[in-house]
Amino acid sequence: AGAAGAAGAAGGPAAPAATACSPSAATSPGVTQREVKTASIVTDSGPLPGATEGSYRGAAAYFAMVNSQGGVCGRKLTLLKGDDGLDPARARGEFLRLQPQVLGFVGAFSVADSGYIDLIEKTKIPYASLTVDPSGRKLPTVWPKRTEDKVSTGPYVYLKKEHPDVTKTAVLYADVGAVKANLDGTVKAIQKAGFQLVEPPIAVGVADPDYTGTVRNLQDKGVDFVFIFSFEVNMHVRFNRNMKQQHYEPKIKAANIAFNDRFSQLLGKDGDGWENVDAYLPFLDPAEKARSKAVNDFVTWNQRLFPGQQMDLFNVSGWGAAAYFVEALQKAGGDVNRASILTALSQLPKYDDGGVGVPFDPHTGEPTRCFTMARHEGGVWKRSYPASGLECGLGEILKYK
Amino acid sequence: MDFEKLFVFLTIGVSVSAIYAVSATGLVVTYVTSGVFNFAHGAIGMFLAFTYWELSVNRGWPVPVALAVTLLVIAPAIGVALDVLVMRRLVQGASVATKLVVTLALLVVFQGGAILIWGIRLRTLPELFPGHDYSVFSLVITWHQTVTVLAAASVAFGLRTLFKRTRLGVAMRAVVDNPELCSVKGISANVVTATSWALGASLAGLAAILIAPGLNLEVNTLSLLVVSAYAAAVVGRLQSLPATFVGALILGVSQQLAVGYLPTSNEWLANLRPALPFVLLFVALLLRSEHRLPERLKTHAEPAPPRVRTTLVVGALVVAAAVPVSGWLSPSNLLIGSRGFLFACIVLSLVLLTGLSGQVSLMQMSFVGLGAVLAGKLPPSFPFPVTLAIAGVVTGLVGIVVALPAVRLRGIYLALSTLAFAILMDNIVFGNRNVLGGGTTLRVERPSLFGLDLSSERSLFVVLAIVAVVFAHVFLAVRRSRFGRLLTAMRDAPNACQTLGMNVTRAKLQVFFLSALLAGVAGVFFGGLQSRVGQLDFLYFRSLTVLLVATIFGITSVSGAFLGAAFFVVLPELTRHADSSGGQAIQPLVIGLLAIATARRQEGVAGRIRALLRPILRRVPAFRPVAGRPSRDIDLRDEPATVTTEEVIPVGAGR
Repeated sequence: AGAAGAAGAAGGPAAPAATACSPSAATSPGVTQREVKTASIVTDSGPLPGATEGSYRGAAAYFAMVNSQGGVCGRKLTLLKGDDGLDPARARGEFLRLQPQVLGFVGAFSVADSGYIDLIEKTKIPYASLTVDPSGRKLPTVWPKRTEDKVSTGPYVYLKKEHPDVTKTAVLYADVGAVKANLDGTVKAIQKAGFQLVEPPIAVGVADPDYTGTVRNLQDKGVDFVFIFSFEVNMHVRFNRNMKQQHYEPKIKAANIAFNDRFSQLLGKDGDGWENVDAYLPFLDPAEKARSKAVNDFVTWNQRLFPGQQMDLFNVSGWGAAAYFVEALQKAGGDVNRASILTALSQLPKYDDGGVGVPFDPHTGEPTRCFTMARHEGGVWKRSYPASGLECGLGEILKYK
Repeated sequence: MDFEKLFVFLTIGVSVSAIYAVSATGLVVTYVTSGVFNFAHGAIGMFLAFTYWELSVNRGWPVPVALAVTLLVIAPAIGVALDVLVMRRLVQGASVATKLVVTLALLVVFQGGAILIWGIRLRTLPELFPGHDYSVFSLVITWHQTVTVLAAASVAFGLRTLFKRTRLGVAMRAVVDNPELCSVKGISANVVTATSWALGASLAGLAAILIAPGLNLEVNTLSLLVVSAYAAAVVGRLQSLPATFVGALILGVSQQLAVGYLPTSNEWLANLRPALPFVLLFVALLLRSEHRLPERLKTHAEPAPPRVRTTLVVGALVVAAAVPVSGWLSPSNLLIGSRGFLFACIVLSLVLLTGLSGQVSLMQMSFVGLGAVLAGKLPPSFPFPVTLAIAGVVTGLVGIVVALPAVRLRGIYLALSTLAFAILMDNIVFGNRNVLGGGTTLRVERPSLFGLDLSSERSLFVVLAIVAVVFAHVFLAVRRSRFGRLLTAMRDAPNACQTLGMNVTRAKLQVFFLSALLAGVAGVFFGGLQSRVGQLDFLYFRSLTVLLVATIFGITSVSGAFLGAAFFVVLPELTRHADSSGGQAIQPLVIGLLAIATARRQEGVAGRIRALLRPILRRVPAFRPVAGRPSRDIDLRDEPATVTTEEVIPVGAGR
């Protein structure tokens, strides 16, 4: 099936070994002979309190793991936290506050990052994280790069192979800006895989009191593949409840949904049958810890540093960004400054979320064809395909703009 | 025509209507019995739904016991506590703005309290009679949905009977109209209002407990769902429970018919569907006939405007201080300062509208957003003053468009119409990719003004200080002018103004134009300050924050606007180190409790500070009273007069 082992999934060590080198005198903000300071701006307060705090926690957990092994080049890694309150204006203030104190930003992830995109460009600070605002993704100091016009059709080709008789498809999306901005690629990939949309993507209000009408529409149109595109699990849970109520059971129910364990907690076995198309399942399926040391480290250190926390995709994002940044620090050696880190970042060949995600080329930013699928069974997420490692042989990279 | 489809969507519509009906009924009951349109109604319900979850799910109490304790013990206790501790002290006889602010403050207090107690984690609440359902044609309906419909109908019918047929119900309505007369008749106003609030809280709890299994337990969604039900309440003119029920039916059914029949291919139409409740709200407000009943309005107790010389001196001092200060501040602190000046401009635009002319606006940030979007859309080659002028004037004209229907409205109806406009703009303008150039945010270039490059935080800080001072002078110039006096008169006695031949309609349009223009101009700078703007920046609840902050620090004065702005930008810095749910709850709790504490004083915190500083300022020549001028102009009294006017309704004047 074209399966290939991912770095982490193959069971290799995720944590870098302590590097033998001599730290030079500080020539950059946030760097001393004993410490490297970085920062992460996340949404901790405001209308969605704690929304992306996992990004900070994930990065902090990775740094703690590295520090437990002696740090990088004898320097301990410190992560400062900024709170944007889901307000771009405050995000900008946090950027300006933290920027002079740190070597770079790591694992910042928030829809409010639009408030400081121009400042990243202006200050030329290393920014090891994906920006949510697409306008930041190609800036020279932002790593990894991400294209906005290409998408992998792999997961949908897999679904089509599994269900060749299914064609009538509906894509529903949460009616919020950040979702709409990322919708087009998914829709094109679904269509390219051979599914036919019965109508254009359907906007669904996250605060609509009832989704039965939409469910009924899909039933009437004979839709047998429902895809929900939303970053908020509540919509999936509520939609699933209305589908169950109407005894509507399409052949494929898929979503980018396994980004935390709330779906399982809220629905239990009622959520069985949903397919997940993202790669953020490792920490949700306990069996993955045994398959991969990287996943084991991820779960262990996240829980050790923040006991009882509810991990989500933001933990993975922060962990991955921190791993990437640490790799750049190691490459830069003892003479660490913003310029040397940017040079090192530009030379790293692979981005793989510290071994827990799907590797891709950070220079082109093109999506990879590699993926895993998870299915909700018995009230929990379980790897459904491939049996181990990643599937990299299906589908294509589709340019959709 | 597919009649089965029509039947199915009508049935779903009725089911959804029940949700709106229960919510709206509670709102109307509170309004009828207390004269307060309770913006916190949804939040009180949310808090009670969490309480019910705590008892029934977390502590494992039997459902009937948990339900009874929540709705018959805890909810009434909360209602009585609100009446005794907050409403009785703050709301009776207060202006619409005060009532509105108190309930908005309660909304954020209940939200903060829920986060403090239960955290932010999403929870499910089981349905009543889980697993029980039946089919009508091919539509499956649960017992819970049926109970919701029956509850909505029973509540509407039962309450109508209460108000029409029982002594208590009649007393509840009578106390709102004339508490003194009621006491003469041996009716205890305190007992009746406490009962009213207890009943309102129980209804809020009932609505939330019925709604939560469908929506799940989440602080924001549950608190704000009731906003969609405002349309139903307005259809019932905030008085009639049967009409409210009909309004809920119209709302729920039209929403579901839109789901079933409205094409999804057009983004404008797709954005319109979730905004439907607010379109209906706006239409309902437009169709509402204005009752020109005698009003009992309380004037703002406000100081006279300072003299021109004083304001010029203070303005010059602010600008002069901004230059050296800008050199001492770090870039992040410069930004905090810039945001403060900008927020002061936004608050001043609201002070003009609400503080001076009494027109309550809940959409000031929408005007700001419009200015920012226009700045992003206009060609960068335009000279900045031209961009500023175009954005300001266009936003001002939109202000007139808002005001045209609103001239017929006043008080809470005007506030609701601006809220509807704000939510429509959220959905249709700021959330529209066509408007934002295909992305989620729109780039706005930093301006260069008369050859001065504003790309540095320092230069922008100084320019925004100047802009804020100019805004303050504009506001004060209006206040000192004949037009300003007309606005004040219109605020305090609109009917009397009309009787005296003043053109109140034109004055309303003018003040809306000016306020929106100022907000639009502020928006251009807002866009320049942030470089990118999007829906997130102008969500409707940000306008509510502007109003709350303005009220805490004084909705009538320039100093209040500046102090409020300082508070607004500094509060997040003060709470930076507070982590966990406690930290996340601090900001709403602080803002909410402060707003409640200061709501009754129109002069707010700024007024108290002025009173404290008066003895010192008397010694400064620039602040000394001018000889021969009436003392009212200088207002050196420690306690400014609070004048209660019974509006003049001349016999035969068109009545």
